[in-house]
Amino acid sequence: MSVKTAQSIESFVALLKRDLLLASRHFSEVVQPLLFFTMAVMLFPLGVGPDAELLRIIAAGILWVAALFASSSVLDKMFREDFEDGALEYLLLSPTPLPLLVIAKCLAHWLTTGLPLVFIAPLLGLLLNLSFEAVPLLVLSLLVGTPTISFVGAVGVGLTVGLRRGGVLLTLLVLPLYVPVLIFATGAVQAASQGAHAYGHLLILLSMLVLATTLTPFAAASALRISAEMN
Amino acid sequence: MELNSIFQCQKLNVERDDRILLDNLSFDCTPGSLTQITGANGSGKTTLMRTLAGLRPVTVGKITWQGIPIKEQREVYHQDLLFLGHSSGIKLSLTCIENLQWMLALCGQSQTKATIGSVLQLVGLGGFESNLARTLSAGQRRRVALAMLWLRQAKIWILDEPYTSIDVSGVDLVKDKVMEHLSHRGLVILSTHHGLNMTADQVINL
Amino acid sequence: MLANLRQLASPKNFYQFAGTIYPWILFLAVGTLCFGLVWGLLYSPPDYQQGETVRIMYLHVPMAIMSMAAYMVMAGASAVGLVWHLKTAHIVARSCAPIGAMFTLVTLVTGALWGKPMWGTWWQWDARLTSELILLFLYLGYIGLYQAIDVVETAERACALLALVGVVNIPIIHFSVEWWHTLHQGPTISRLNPTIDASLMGPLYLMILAHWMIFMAYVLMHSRTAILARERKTQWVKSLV
Repeated sequence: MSVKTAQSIESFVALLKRDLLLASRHFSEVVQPLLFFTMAVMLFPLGVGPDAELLRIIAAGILWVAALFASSSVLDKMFREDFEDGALEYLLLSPTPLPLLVIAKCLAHWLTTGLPLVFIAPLLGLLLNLSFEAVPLLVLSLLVGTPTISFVGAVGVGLTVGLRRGGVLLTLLVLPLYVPVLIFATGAVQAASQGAHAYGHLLILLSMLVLATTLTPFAAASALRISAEMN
Repeated sequence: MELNSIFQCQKLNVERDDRILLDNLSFDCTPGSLTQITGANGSGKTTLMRTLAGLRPVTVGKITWQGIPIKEQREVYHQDLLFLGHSSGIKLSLTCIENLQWMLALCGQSQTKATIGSVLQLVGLGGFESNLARTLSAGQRRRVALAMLWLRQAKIWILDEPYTSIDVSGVDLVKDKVMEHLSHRGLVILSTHHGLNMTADQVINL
Repeated sequence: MLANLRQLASPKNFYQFAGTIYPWILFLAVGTLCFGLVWGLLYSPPDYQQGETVRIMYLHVPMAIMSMAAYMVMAGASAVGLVWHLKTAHIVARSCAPIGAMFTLVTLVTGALWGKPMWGTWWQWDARLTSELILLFLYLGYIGLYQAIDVVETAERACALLALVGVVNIPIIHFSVEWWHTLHQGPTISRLNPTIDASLMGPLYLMILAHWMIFMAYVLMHSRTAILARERKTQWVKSLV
């Protein structure tokens, strides 16, 4: 292994560690999207009525739409602080390729915002009367789908991070891009609750994840370099 | 081309918000030389410094490092570059040591905690090693960022207003460090509107 | 070679070139549009299944084609702008957005109008209509981002990147919506036979051509004004105005 590669890996790990350390010191920020997720899911039965059969049918959709909104609500944090306190310059001026550092940022963001949703979702699924067989698929679809959301979202964050109030615009930019994930993730859960095989859906979700992890770091890196000009 | 000059700026145009800040700027830097950038507020000092560091694209003209345009060898150039901008990048909820550790790691370098501790001692932050940056004053936070001058190996330093918010003793400390870097054939480009207290090899007034 | 191309595509040259061909394109646009409308609305036979309502097709189908074509042109121009740093390409890309969004909106409205007699409802979560709705949001996001960034060069480059991200995603979105639709398609909707009788094709092709001309005329005109605004400080614009 060349010195260069070892250096790159070291930077990657250091950035990941730093972001996880920061998240652990602001633990309430990790809990907030979880509360958002729970509350959004809770509002649906209050809106459509307590009919258990109806809830069972729409449970997958509710959970996934709520998960999308919950992750979008914290997406902006991925680079906002780094942009404002100047830490982004260290990323941009690092000898390590920027796309690699973007992957570290996305990974840290997913571990602190996406992964917690995966753990709480089964419980909420049962509250919505989701059939027992569909729960593992719900967990799997979230496990494969939420990282894609972080990666695709990184491009939107990169483009809007230089703007004072980019929050709503960011949501407008990224939500249309989440449509495929939503369709196949809910498709997987619904197929499972009807007793059908859901491997196909999961494989498509997985291929979307592979596509997202290989392409979006480059797009997000270019977006960050463009945004850095605004400073 | 002068044989010694390893950093060159050729016919550079710098525009910002549709306004031409600098037109046709050319200068060379040799190892061991200090270049001072001066100019009034709004004359484009920071924009120029950020362009020289590679944070803004060069549209007209060329900036070369060791004979190769910096945009063609970004990673090599950034390996050799230490840039200190306006905002220091300090994370308020990390300690001084933790901050310096991630900064060094992103530059592809590392130092032991003991070394970082002794440098913090040197810049007047002895006893604050494990304090969160949140508890430090603005001047102290700046000193944390300046500690990179001692910790990081780099051939070219681009320092944008390094003396902002530090006191007289801090200014002297930085000045001595800059002199030391120059004596090791390092290269410094520095912008300031304070008095410099040392002789620059060239002054570029914007 | 590249330097020559850059010279040819300089804002000044493009402004003059666009000024020369713009009247001709506009003339062709009005001509084909009038001819196509008269042919399609008055002189073509009604459909044997849909009757007179089929005539909405002469607006709906060209608009739908152009809504996607405009995005492709926008993405293509954006790529050229990013790769070769061509100011003109960025300006052309930017000019595609408003008219593209307009085409998309009209496609949705005419689709709804067509849906009422055909499906008995204004909106149907049909695969193509849903894709079109998402496309509208992509356009609006592009326009929103452009307007949010104050520095024109930065806005252009950020939007160019967004257009490229969008163009990679459009096939994926389209495919997943198609798939979603086949999964959820309700049993009550009877899909009409999609083949079109040859007698209806003539005016349809003419209308598609007309819409291309409208699009080109708009982009040329919009680019010309944008160039004047961008280059207002240069000598050639000052001597022009």
